[in-house]
Amino acid sequence: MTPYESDEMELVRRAASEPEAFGELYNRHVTRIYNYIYYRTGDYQDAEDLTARVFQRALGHVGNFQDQGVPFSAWLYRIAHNLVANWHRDRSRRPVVPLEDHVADTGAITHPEALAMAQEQNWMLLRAVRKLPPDRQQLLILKFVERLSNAEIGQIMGRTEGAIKSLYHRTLNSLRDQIKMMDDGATGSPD
Amino acid sequence: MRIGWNRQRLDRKRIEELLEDSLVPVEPNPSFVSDLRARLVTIKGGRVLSPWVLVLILASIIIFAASALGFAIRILLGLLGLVGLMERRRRESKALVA
Repeated sequence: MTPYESDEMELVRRAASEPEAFGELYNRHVTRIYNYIYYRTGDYQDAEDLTARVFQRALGHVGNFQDQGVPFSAWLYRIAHNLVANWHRDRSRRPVVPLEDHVADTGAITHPEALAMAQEQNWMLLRAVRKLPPDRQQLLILKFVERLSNAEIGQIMGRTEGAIKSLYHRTLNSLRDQIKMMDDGATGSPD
Repeated sequence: MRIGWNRQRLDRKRIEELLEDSLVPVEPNPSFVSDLRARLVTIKGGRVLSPWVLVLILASIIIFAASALGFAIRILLGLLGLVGLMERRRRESKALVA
């Protein structure tokens, strides 16, 4: 166990009775959990609401957390994953990320037509990602947004590193198929 | 709008590049982060009673209420007994006078 992990476990033990320890855990993980939920829901308001619920639930159950070699962040991601799944079930819809939220990501492009094309590609890619099954979306978010290794993703998703590698390969293939299918639809429709 | 994905070579590397460009970390609103932290720490600080302490308090209240009720019934019965005794004495004294 690394010094960071042992320090975190100590914080988790103290968090059951000390508000400041829970506050420190919150500071460490809130942005990652928010990012995960944001990319799963595509809406800032819903991301804030669900992030608050994740930490409220964690607060209520942190005393029951047992160190079984799984990091505390994995426990938080699982809470977030379950809440997002309930959210999708309750709403029975798949929201889209507002296009304007990702305009800044195309920073180097200055020509208006090229910028519009880049935004459209970006938007379509995110739509394609959201059409993937939840575990594949989770994998892509953890890999690209959180920049986690396959081993870390495996701990969070409860799979081996090899299984994550294999899932990643299949995910990229499905994403390519999804993009092509969507593009065929976009190309076939009148502009 | 025509996107033109099909004109690009969508191999694994290209898809990864596109994902790196699109899936970028976002920062939550700072006021949301600080407000939520304050709320969580306040809830935690205010939650001084564990469930077992609550059960103990509830049991104590029930026992105290039962004891208080028993005591009140005893007082009531005592008072009734006293009234009865006084009434009997009054009747006895009346009978003696007669």
